[in-house]
Amino acid sequence: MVPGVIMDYIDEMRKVIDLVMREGASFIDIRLERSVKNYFEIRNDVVEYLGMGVDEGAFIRVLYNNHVGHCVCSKINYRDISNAALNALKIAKLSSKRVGGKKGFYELSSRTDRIQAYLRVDPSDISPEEKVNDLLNICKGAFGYSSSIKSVTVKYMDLKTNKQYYSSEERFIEQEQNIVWLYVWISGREVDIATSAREELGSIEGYTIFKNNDPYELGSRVAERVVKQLGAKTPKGGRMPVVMAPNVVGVFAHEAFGHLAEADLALSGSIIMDRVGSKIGSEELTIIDDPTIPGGFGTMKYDDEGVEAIKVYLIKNGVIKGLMHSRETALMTGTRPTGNARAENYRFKPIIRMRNTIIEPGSHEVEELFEGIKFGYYLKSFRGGQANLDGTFQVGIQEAYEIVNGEVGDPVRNMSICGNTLETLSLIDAIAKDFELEYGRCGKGQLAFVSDGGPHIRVREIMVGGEA
Amino acid sequence: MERKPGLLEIASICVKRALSMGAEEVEAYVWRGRGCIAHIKMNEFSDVSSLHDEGVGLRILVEGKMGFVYCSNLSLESLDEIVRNGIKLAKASKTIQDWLGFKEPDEKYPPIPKIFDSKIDTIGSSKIVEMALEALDSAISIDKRVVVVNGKVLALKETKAIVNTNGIYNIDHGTIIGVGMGAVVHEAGMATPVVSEYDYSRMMTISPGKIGRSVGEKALSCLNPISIRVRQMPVIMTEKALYYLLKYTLFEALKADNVVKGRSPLINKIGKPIASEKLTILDDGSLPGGLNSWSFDDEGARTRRTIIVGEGELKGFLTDNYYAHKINLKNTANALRSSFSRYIKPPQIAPLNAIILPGDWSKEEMLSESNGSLLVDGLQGAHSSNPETGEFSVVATPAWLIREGELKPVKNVMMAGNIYNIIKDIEALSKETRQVDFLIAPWIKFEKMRIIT
Repeated sequence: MVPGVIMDYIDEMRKVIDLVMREGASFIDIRLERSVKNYFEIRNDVVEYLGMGVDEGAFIRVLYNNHVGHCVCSKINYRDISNAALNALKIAKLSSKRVGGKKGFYELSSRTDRIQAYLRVDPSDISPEEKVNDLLNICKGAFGYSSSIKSVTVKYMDLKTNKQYYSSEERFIEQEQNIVWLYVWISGREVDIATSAREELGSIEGYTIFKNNDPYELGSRVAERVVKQLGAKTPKGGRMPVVMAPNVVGVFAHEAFGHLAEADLALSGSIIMDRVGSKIGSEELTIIDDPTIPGGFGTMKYDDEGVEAIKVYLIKNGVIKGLMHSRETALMTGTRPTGNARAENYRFKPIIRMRNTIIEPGSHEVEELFEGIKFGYYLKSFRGGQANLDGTFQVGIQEAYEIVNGEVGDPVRNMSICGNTLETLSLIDAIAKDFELEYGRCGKGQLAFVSDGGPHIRVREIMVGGEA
Repeated sequence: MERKPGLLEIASICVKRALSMGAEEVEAYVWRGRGCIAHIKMNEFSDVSSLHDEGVGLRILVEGKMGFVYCSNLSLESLDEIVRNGIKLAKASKTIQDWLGFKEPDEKYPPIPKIFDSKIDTIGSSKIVEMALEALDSAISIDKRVVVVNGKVLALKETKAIVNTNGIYNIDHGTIIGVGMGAVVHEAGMATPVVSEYDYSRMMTISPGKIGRSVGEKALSCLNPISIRVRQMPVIMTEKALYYLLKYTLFEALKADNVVKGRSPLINKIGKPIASEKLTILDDGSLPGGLNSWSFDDEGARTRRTIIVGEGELKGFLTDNYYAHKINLKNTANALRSSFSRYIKPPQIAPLNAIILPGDWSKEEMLSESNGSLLVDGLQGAHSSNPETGEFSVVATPAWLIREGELKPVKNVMMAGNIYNIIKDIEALSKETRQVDFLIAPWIKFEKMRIIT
């Protein structure tokens, strides 16, 4: 069987579902996936790695007497899938003998749907030679910018996935998804000082990442940031006012707040749990996880549980509003699933993940945010971030500038910020009207492609740290 | 009855197929994993998964240029599809400088003791469920405020086979079993940070109850944190904190590929002191029972023990077959393909079982002799460290201030510095060691660390 058209499988999957339901299951869903991935890595002028892979397999989930069994199988055919489904049922039955179960899934009405991806430029129509040439041009642009540039790493991926979802609710959904992702890391060195800068670009419309970003110019642009950092100061540690650019706002919305509002983490004791409904920020502050923003990595019609993906207000006008749910957490808390359950691929169970997480633009001009700051920092782009359930976060900043008397001044290198998320949100005192959407990846035991973003924002006070 | 071909046979078929379609050199890596994972979520047993995965990864050379392809479907049609693509990719690539061919067979491949346990191979899902319940019950019976955020018990049997056109024809089997848990304590609207505990083993020797109890106790010890106001203090880092700190700094710099590419500050430092004389680091992919021990590395080289840092002096780098030649050192057999579904990526240089040799302090002595020091068990943000300079700026969590023999949890403490400065000032190492992922380490006390609060 070659996957592709839902009708090829519908009869066989119905047979598997009937078989398992007859044996006593109360719910079953089956995810079939086939994906083709190209992954390239270039370092300096060396083609490090050109890779391509085809992943094919199934994930079967069975509910029996409030117990869940899964089976992952790397073969797509009736015999292997029906065996895997019976195996999932068997282990659910086994676990029900050992422990009192309370598991369940929010069930939905029947539905048949097929979503075809819209591709402006199909990556498979572009030859590997042309792609390699574009990636090498990024390196040329970087080295051409300055002799201080010592190394350039470029990673590129295009991933085309056909996902099919079949459940005992008679929900049959086929979706195509396309991801094109580009990552550039450039480092430079002068005497004893080394700095680096990174850039991540993405598209769900195919090979369009270079449409508004000529590869050579992209390389020089990132290299310029590296060179600026070479002459940069190290930060003064301590608490001070900052203005965050959209790139940092996005990772803050995602890492610092977003994770706390994932229902599984909230129910496990994140600081959000007891605070839904309480006001924690200004009237102007709204944070959304929105799968409907055109062109985002997290833009989708259904999640990996066959659930309609809907917009979730995490904070609306300063008040904590709601959580992101899967079928399981929705049933537990008596609400509807929001379509946030995503799986990296067929080898993983769907878990609650973000999609496009953004802070909504406000009413200020960007320039106004800098006014009145005697000394502070302008945080332009991030290096990485992490948060904990107790509401603390850390974000590494790769590109920062001093703000002196309301003006952006000298560059600052190797900085990071940390603090308590809710406190930091309450200290946001101005939100600008601009907006940018960023493309990235998020790890929560599984990898997910996500977008985040927002406008420029000002925080009255945040803890700034850096290298000694 | 039809006979199913073995993994070596499949690998050989792949090599022949690729050669017949125009490849000049080929390496086929076939991997099969069978296992079971039980999950705990939000203080409850969540679900059990059974896993069956297999596939092949091929490195294909045409005109001295390489492409990598993989697939999980081992039918001939599927193999032909990826081989065609592999040849196309190789042609689009650039000539590999100084390529000497794939690994040639070593003389002997002595089997590694304690990496396969038939008790794990045949464990069955009900035993896994039982172990998960034991871990969970032990954690929450410590105190009713303990919440196990997530946890898992997994058992896995892996088989890897490698065949290449230079004569490698190897197969090995291994097992692994593990328990991992993360817990918080929730009280009066405040939550402690998530603390974690885990234990992995190649043999059936883990104790889920012990892990459950220690994660519960650790979470409780983080309640009611205090703030500290200091600029600098001595810090004791546990094995886990060291793992996060070193993984993104020192161990990146020790990889020969990073050295060759100018991405390591340790270039030209062989034979020179880079750390305190108290620091000796080995890597041993042949260590009996080591979490990453196999009789050959992921391109077929016999695994071995190598001194990387000896009494503070840099002795060598971690290499694979190609970079050993590039950098003119012996192959340390450190080619590794990432964990689970290993066929989906080509091998990369990585530490297998890195060993930091222990000192002569007991952990208790270290604590009792360290009034006013910080004990750090985890780091947030370590992955944002700069591997090319060794600079880091991280949040220490969980962490405790050692005060008059007691551990006081602290909050919002950042540590910043450069790894190459702090490893020069090592005050003490514990005599007990533990393996966390690739790192077998003692506790290490650093004389001074810059603290930001």
